[in-house]
Amino acid sequence: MDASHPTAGASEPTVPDLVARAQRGDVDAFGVLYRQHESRVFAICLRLAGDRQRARELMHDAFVRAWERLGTYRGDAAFGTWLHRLTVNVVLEAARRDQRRTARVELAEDDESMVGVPASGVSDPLTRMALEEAIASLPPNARLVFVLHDVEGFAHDEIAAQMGLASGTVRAHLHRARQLLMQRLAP
Amino acid sequence: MTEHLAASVLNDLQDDLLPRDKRRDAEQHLEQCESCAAQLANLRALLSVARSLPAELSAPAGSWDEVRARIAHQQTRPLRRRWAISPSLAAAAALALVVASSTVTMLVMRRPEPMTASQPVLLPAAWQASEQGYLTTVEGLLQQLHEQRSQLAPATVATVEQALATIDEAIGEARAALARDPANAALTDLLASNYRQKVELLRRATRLSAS
Amino acid sequence: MRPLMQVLVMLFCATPLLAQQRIEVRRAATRDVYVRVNGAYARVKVTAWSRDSVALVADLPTGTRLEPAVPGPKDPPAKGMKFYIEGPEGGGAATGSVELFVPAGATVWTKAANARMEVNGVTGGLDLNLVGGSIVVTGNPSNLNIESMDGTVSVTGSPQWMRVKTASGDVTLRGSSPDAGITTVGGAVSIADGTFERLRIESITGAVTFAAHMGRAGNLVVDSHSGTIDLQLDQKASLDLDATTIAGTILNNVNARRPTPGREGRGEELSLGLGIGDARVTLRSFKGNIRLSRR
Repeated sequence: MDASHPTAGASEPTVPDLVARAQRGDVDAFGVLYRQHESRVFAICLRLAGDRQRARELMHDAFVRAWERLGTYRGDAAFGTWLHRLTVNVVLEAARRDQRRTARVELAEDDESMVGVPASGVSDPLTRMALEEAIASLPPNARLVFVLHDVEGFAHDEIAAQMGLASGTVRAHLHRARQLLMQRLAP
Repeated sequence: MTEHLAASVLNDLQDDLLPRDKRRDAEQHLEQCESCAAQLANLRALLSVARSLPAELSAPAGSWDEVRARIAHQQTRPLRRRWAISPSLAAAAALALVVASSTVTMLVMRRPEPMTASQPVLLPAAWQASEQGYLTTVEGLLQQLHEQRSQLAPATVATVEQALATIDEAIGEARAALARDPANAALTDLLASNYRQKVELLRRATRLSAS
Repeated sequence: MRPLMQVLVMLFCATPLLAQQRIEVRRAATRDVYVRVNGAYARVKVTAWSRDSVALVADLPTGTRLEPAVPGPKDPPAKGMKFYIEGPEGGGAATGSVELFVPAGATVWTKAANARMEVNGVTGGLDLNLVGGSIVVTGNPSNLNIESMDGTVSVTGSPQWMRVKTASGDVTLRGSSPDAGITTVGGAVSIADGTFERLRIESITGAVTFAAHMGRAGNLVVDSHSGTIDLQLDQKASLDLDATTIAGTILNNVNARRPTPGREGRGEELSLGLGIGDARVTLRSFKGNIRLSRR
């Protein structure tokens, strides 16, 4: 097995190279993949979970799951796409387990609220932050459906299948989420 | 004018889910009804902002260490089968010299020294990268704690040092046992648990000393 | 990025106290207000009340300063408040006491060196940080995070999510939780009374006693280096259990099944199934003993 460390000054390895090395047990190669994708994975987890601490746990779960399942990744889709799907599955599974849990609140030691810190600049940060806060305050199912449909671009049927809900129920959650968000963002 | 459009109709219109005839009716209504048109505009504004949310958000610092620790914890599972196939080959190929987890005492009173091989122990290769990850994390935290030492009460220092000594002793015992029995999954889990404790304890100590 | 703090217009004022005296701060607050109390105090008592406001009553000794960061009295209800208590110059053990009243849904963060922290009735979040002393939580917070070194921890209630980490402080939990994790180096861990779905306990030398109930699809994992693991199952316990020691012994008083010698003849292993439940229990100890019994 290859447990070598990346060599300083070596040319940047490609994603397929890194995946291949990680599949052979190279944790450092997986670490590079982790760093390349953590912001994306964290964004999905944070928006779906509505809570930074929970999002952090879910992100860890997603990457541990990715490590465990690396052998099943055959390169049919981009690694990022595969990881994105896997992350959504991890979060939805956790949501089902946590069905009885109420919406979680921020507990981090610092002052950061549920709103994430953007990895890069956005044009209208205040509106975006207000929306992020409002999304975090949605009821769990409404939040999951809204984020999957209106932020991540999943189709109704896809969401219904992943969440184990009827398509009509998904639409009802979506409409409710949008209604609540419009109310909360109204001036 | 007909009564206002239901919220579900506005949503379905936006999502292109209305049958053609109902869509036509809704659009005709919208041409005449400012209230419903405003509702739809609000909805579109909301979705526009939703779509503009950044795809990436900065993840909390230090997360990789925790993922790495958990991977180390899990790592025997995919690898165990390989060892089980040929224990003797595995023993020859999978054992390697790894730096020992040197006992760290007096962490705050004197500058922590780089981890060196005080007691070389042969460990499964699967553990090498993982353990190195732990050691790197531990070294960084010790350095940080050393720099914050003036903010820690002597009693706290004593507590942390005693706990570290306890954990180091446990790590030493578990490592030696794992070297003797490299395919023992329970031992791997226990050793990973010990390392997690060490990293956690140091993190807590640095947080406590931070103002 | 601190949106809450950006939104609030914070009024920072330092209140020097001339002698041991009482100071009170009261402000309207949202039901999920976030409150931090940090600094030099020997006791903090947090009580949830039914009002939409936060009140802090502090009895602080000479030379101690209370620095509140709170909105003005006429501002809209606060979403966040901070109180910092700065001890007298020259240090010395903190002696002040703080009583805090918050809406039940509040999230409260506290940090102190040596103190007694007591929290009652908060259903929001709790993040309590301590070196020595004690933490006593009563109630059903949705989130409970406790970090302590020497300080003992006692929780009575049913946190939806909880994590407790200590160095040598003992941890006692009476209640239930769907998601709990306890980590200690040398503290004794005692769990009793309630039902747990997902519970993970890690100890180095501390003894672990579990005398509660596992939910139908629950998962309990206990890892210890040298602490005794004492699992006291109720009569209706329905679960699959795997116990492993590397050098310790396993004593099974639950049924007739006997442990087998471990790998390479060291330690012991035992697997047993009780009832039809899906609950899963994994106990691992390096050289501590594992004891299984009915209660």
